[in-house]
Amino acid sequence: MKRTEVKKRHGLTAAIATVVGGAMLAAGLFGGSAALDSAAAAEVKKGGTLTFARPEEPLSMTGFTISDNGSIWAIEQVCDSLIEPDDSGYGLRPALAESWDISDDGLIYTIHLRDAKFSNGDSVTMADVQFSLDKATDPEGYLGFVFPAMTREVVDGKTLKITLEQPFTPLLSTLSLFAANIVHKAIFEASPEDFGVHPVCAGAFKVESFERGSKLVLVPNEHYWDAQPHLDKVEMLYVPESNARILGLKSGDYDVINVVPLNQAKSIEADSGLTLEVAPAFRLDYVYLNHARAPLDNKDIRMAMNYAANREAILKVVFFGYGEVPNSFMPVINYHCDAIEKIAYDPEKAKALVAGAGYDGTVIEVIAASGDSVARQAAQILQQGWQAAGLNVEIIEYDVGTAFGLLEEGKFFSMVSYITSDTNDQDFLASIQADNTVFGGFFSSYNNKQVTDWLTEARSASDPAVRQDLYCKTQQQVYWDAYSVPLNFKPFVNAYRNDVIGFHNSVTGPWWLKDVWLDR
Amino acid sequence: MQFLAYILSRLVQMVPVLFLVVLIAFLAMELVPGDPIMLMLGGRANETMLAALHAEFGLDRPAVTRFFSFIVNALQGDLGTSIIQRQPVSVIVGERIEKTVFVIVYGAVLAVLVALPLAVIAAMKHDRPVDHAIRIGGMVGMSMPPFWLALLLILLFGLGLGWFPIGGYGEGFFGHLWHLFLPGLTIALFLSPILVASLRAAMLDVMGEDYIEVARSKGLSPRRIMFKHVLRNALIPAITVLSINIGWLLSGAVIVEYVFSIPGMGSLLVRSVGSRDYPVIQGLTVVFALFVMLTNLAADLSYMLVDRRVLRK
Amino acid sequence: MPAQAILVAAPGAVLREIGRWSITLKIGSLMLLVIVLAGIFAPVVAPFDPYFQDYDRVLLPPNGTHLFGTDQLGRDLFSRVIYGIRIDLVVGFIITFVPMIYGVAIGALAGYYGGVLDGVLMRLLDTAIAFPFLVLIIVVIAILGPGVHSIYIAVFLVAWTMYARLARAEMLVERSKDYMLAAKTLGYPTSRIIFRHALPNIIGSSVVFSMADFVLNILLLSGLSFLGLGIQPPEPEWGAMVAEGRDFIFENWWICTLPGLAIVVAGTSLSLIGDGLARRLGQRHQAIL
Repeated sequence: MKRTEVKKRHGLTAAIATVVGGAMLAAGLFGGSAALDSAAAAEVKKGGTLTFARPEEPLSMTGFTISDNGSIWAIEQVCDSLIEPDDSGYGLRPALAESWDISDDGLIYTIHLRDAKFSNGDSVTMADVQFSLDKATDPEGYLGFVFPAMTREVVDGKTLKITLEQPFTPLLSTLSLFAANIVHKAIFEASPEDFGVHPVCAGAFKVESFERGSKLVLVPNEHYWDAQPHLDKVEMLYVPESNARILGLKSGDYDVINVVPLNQAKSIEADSGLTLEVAPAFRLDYVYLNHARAPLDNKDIRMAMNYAANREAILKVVFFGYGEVPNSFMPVINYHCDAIEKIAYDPEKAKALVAGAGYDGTVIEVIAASGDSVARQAAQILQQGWQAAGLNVEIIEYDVGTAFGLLEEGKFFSMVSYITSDTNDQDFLASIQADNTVFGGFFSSYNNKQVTDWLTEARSASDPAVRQDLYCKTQQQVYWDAYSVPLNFKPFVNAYRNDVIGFHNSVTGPWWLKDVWLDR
Repeated sequence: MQFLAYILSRLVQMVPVLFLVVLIAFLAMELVPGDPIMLMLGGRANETMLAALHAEFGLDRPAVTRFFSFIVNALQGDLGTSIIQRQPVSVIVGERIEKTVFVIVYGAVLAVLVALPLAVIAAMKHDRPVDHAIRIGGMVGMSMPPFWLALLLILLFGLGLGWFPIGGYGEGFFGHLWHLFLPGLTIALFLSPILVASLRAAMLDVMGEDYIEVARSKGLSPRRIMFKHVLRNALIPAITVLSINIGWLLSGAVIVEYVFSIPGMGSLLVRSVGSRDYPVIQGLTVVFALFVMLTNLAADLSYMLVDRRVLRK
Repeated sequence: MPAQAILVAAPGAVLREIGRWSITLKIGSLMLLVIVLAGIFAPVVAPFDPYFQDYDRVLLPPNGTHLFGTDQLGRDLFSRVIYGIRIDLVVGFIITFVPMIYGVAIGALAGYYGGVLDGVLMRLLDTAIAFPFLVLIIVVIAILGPGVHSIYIAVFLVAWTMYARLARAEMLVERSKDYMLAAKTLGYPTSRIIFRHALPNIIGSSVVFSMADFVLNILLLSGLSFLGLGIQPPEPEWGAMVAEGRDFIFENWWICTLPGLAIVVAGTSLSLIGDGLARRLGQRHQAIL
């Protein structure tokens, strides 16, 4: 049996920098298995309700059609796939699949199904698995394009044989995606609409009630195949206003809050009853550039925008020091290359590049989504630097719908936004962003034959060293082509009360609430 | 009978207005960039899949067909299905109406509680320092941006004193009252200056009427005159002011809901516009329009009631 | 006629006219004058460049150098508030008085002619009121791009309704009065009757309302910026500044409090003027409808 290589993370200097103010130093300090170990060391207390305030709203509990983190991370608590990310998120572990074998040529994956039950007590059957994977891998389906061409064959009630046309190393990662969750076929088919509110899956929790726009209540799934969650109940609240989340945490109304406004992170650190969690994320905040639109078709202009971007100031003023100035066009994922040199802040060089580029004074518009204060501030700092370099820059705010509509139609110059990865394989985002044949360069129109070749090769290479080399080359090439203006490797910043034990953010975004318990 | 005929004719007049509102909303959504399916998929879809989902939601049909099928369905009470949430629009919107209405009514009631005594005092002490203070206080109050006021209330009551929750809807009637106090107060503080001004003006007008003079000459105490005659007659114009401001209130509710994290129609509207969830936008537009028109009708009817009373005098 | 007296006061009569003003009108006018002058001479009044970001001087509380402190990008808030006058007052003025002109005209026509024209105009008015403004503004921005021109268009589409209502109501009363009937029998052209004879008599309530409307429009403008739908950064619009200070309210209260105060001061000056005008124009008791 061969397992996907799990690489230790590298890149960010601070690993999981958790700051604990009070006496509860023992547990919850470190992500990954450390949390589990220390949690096991202390006496785990069962029961209690965890109140969890998030700024994202779950819209639907059906994984086949949604793409928002509000929904995805809630679904992860309720639904399991065959394989799931491990505690840290960097690696994988078996879930509804007990084990798997991979043939030496990398073409045949034999998956052995576990004895598991859905939350309504029905067994997870091969029919459910087939149905769910049919939906997930449907080329017309939402995330269908991330799955390679394959045939699936039911060997017996417990064994599934997947045959690929070409070797595809990221397959196991891809099977861990939320879109590949296994759902109860009969119940889903009876009413997909109803499933969006009352999903029947085989995860650690099940939905007790779902009040759209305000509250999702989860209770343990008594038929869960693994150890039962410690908590009696999770109340996941939608609290978009960050001040409200902070106050609610301080007043004791909430046990955990996601997305701490960074300017208030210090005051949480100073509060002896609270814990601030700064966890690495597969996330890069960056400025999308449209290479198809003059003057951004000129590499010198794009380089000038990079040299004139005062990232240190942005990190200090906008992100309050949380994160790291990037050296890549994509987030820090498993094959990230530390050695790539950063594009330095060099206003003079930027000025010279603009002067030599034959810039005609075209106004370069920077889109910031309305209400996104981080994008708005970063855009203003960038604007000051870019104008000093001799570029004409205007900031325009659009509602999210319009902004992405314009991106889709290619009618934009640049936009301050970010990207996150739902899987721990480098291939997912590298290909979406930089391989023009996969996704057209993710709105950038970036097209580099060499990069496409490297990424194609990396996709089928099974030797980690070979893949590492190819991804480093890609990172060097694309980043120094001024693909975008990267701003920050932004971490997840959460806060919780000290008596919440075992909470941590995995790098892809969700949290394993089944490991959380309350010391009260 | 005349009264009923009037109501009927007003209701008939609403039909073309509602049609226009729906038509404009529909055309607007046709014109703006952004595609709900594309946005739903987070920009990761391919052509075949887009086509499939467009077909599923009937977005591949010509605009005219879609418009008329919306109208036909809406007349049968079917507002369609949310593209993003995959639930009937009537359910999604229905869940929100209660919350928005609760906040607005709560705010209006608080406003009346604040405004009524102030207006009475101002009218009784007409042109004396108390009156001027109330009037100028009202002017300052009216100039306060609701979103700014909301933030200050959060700072004061939420952080400083910690008396009230600063977000959420709460559970049960008293839970709502408790959680929505600050949003309600925000609306009340915006509304009460307007209310004080109109109540005071109406009372001063009534106090100038002959029958008040008569009552006064009969030796009735000023207090009795105030509460028995003046206030009663001044209330209806004040209620009219409230209902005329309903459009403002509904728009203002967006900001209040935004700042206080209330899952009402306003926040749903912002989200739905952002994701181009056409059926929800249409549904909310219809509800919004009906709301405004019906309250305006109620306001006009209360005007008529006053007129009648005046006629009888 | 007081309205005209104010509108076309000859230089010599100005002082006499001011002498008749109520105290609220005097105070309000003085406040507004100071604000307007500060806006006009902003480059002199403001101690710093309102756009310049100094990353070593971020989030400074109010002090001797920075009267209102600095914001999260190290810009001097006092200078930004002063420059903000040029945006909020000017845009507020335009979105108040342009719609007033055609709003009164529409209302006067509807009231004078009645019948089908009145019916059609009033249904248009109902539509403009019943359409959610938030959808309208987002749509206009999506089509025409964000910025002040989109705000103008969206507001122009709806802001005339109140003036039309007021003018129509007044015209309904006015049109049966003797002087109107006389003008008609004399054979004056209708446009002359409406705009020369009736207008001075029906515009009073609109003038008084316009001051309250001006205040509401400044609130509207800043509310739009607050939602990210208004004036674009880095322009120092007051509401946008409040929005930028929102996340900082617990630790750096001045960023959103002081620009908000500017809105209150400007709004109060206009309300005082409105109150004074109402008295001066012979409307005994001001009622904001």
